[in-house]
Amino acid sequence: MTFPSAGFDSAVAAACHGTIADETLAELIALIGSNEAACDEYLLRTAIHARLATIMPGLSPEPAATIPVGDSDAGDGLRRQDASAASSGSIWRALLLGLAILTMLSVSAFVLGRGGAIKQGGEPPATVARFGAIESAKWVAADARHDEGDPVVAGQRLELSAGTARIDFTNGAAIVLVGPAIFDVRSALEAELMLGRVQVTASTPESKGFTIHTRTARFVDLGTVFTAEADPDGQCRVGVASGEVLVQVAGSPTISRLRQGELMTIEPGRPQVTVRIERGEETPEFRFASIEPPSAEDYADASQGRASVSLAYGPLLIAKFDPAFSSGGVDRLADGRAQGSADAPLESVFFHEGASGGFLFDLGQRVTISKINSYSWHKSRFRQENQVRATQKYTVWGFAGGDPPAAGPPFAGNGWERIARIDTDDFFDVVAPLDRPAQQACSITSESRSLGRYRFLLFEVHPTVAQHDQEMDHTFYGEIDVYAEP
Amino acid sequence: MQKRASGRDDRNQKQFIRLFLASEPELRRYLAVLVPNLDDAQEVIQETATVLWEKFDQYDSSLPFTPWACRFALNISKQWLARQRRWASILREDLATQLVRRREALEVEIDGRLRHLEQCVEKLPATQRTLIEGYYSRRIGVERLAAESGRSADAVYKALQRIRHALQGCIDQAVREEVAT
Repeated sequence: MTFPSAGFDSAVAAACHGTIADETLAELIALIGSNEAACDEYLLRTAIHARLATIMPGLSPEPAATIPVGDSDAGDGLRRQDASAASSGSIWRALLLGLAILTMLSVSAFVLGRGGAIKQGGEPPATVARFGAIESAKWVAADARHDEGDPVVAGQRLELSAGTARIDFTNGAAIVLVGPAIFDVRSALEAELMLGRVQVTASTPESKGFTIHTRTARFVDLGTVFTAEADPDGQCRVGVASGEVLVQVAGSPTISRLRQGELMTIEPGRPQVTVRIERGEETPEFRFASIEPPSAEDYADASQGRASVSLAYGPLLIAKFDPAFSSGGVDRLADGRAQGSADAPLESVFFHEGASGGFLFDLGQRVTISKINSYSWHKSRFRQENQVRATQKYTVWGFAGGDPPAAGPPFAGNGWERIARIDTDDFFDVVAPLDRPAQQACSITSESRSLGRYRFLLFEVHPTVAQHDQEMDHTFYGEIDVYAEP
Repeated sequence: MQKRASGRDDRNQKQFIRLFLASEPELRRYLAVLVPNLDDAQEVIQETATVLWEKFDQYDSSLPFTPWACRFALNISKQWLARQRRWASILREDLATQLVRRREALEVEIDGRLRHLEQCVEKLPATQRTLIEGYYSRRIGVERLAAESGRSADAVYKALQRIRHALQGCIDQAVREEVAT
């Protein structure tokens, strides 16, 4: 073997893979022992190889006996073929190490099950966290009582019917559980959110890799603040307030990296959908951090002559006494621009108070949808605090055939396929009305670059309801852009 | 009858886990010189963790943990190499120690290059990134990666080799640009 040579390249690679033949290994060892350049190159290549294994520490494998994410068949993509092979990554490392140490100490052994650590012996499991501030908390179990400072142990299930509870993990991670919620603490680095909402802050080096599992995905913290939610029907969402989060959908080999300001929703049984929601600068130019302004270049724009938009159901607001307060026609949604001012009813499309409604886009033929952007803007001339009319709250459905089912609720099971559910209030974590941005954009995409192939898109618009009777309801939608390819 | 950990053990255990997890990436890189295969390295890491815990009472907490841990890791990896006959020749004339020392001598340069690795990974085409994420992060076996991608295992090994080669080229380029500025 010489250096440099293809033989050297292959030998180092095979050494890294564990497939090197004895004879080749002997030659490689002889070469790096006698040739300084070969030695240095070997050191660099093995360093790159080792570093690759630690670049994304949170996404380590799980043992074959453990189903890491939710559904019984969903973990297949995550199980290892070679159960004897050792793993890398902080979560599993911590687990193995913890188990090794516990074994050494002859402390009770634990078996990881779906609900977390299950105590087998009579000894209490290790404390991995402690309760922090608890506010207005009501626990499901009548006899449950938790106070600030109380220990939280591996395998403990927390069932909170109302209020909030903060949990401080020993590694520095902190979560705020928002009721109603069911939350299983698996270890100092892992927890499963069965239902409800948690806000995770994991900014210490020791807490990097903190993982929240849901039935349909897992979210791995890379030093950040994020919010995770899990619904009873399996939909889950993660929104990143700062830093980055890795997301892996059950059964999918793909790992997505979410950055600050991004929200991902995962619909059970659907390709993962990323929803980016941003606040605008509140100018007629509709400028956002990364979402493009309303466009006339999208597939569904009226100027392109390929698609049409119509009112599927529900009454648009018609003001009896002053037409200037009425909604504009639905064609406003596909005219390439949104509103020119913060309170422009006729340039907006909105429903009658309290009513649900839907917009139907007919794309003319079945096309591959790559992106859907929606825009809204409203700030009341009369009541500054009424900003509910910028909140976007809708479900978008797709239908591939040429003759769509009835365009009225319920859509589930009616031939329509749900693409995404949007509620920007959830993302902006709205508590008080003024928390809401007055101008909002929402961009729906998929890492696969396809949200599906459909001819019809139906936007099921949910009412956004003001807090006071004197305030008007319903969101001012200014434009919906659909990007697609035949 | 199982013994319950005392309060002191519990504190020690937490401190040890914290220190070990913080050092573990560095230990892994340190061991890669002698035990490049990830599965083998994990075996050595586990063995090292056990020994370190047994010796943890001897650790002087005023000193950094990682060098102390690396000392044990080197000995354990040598023991592991001695057990693997085909690797045993690396122990002759103490080549193993020489390699480790050379690695230490090049540490600044190698680490300077590795700083660019993550951004180079980001630049990989999606299919290549998926492959290395599967192999390195999720530790899916090559046979399975091959089955899922409709390729032979040899093709997957080759692909991994090519990706690392591309990453090395990307790192070289980043270093050149860094020097130029």
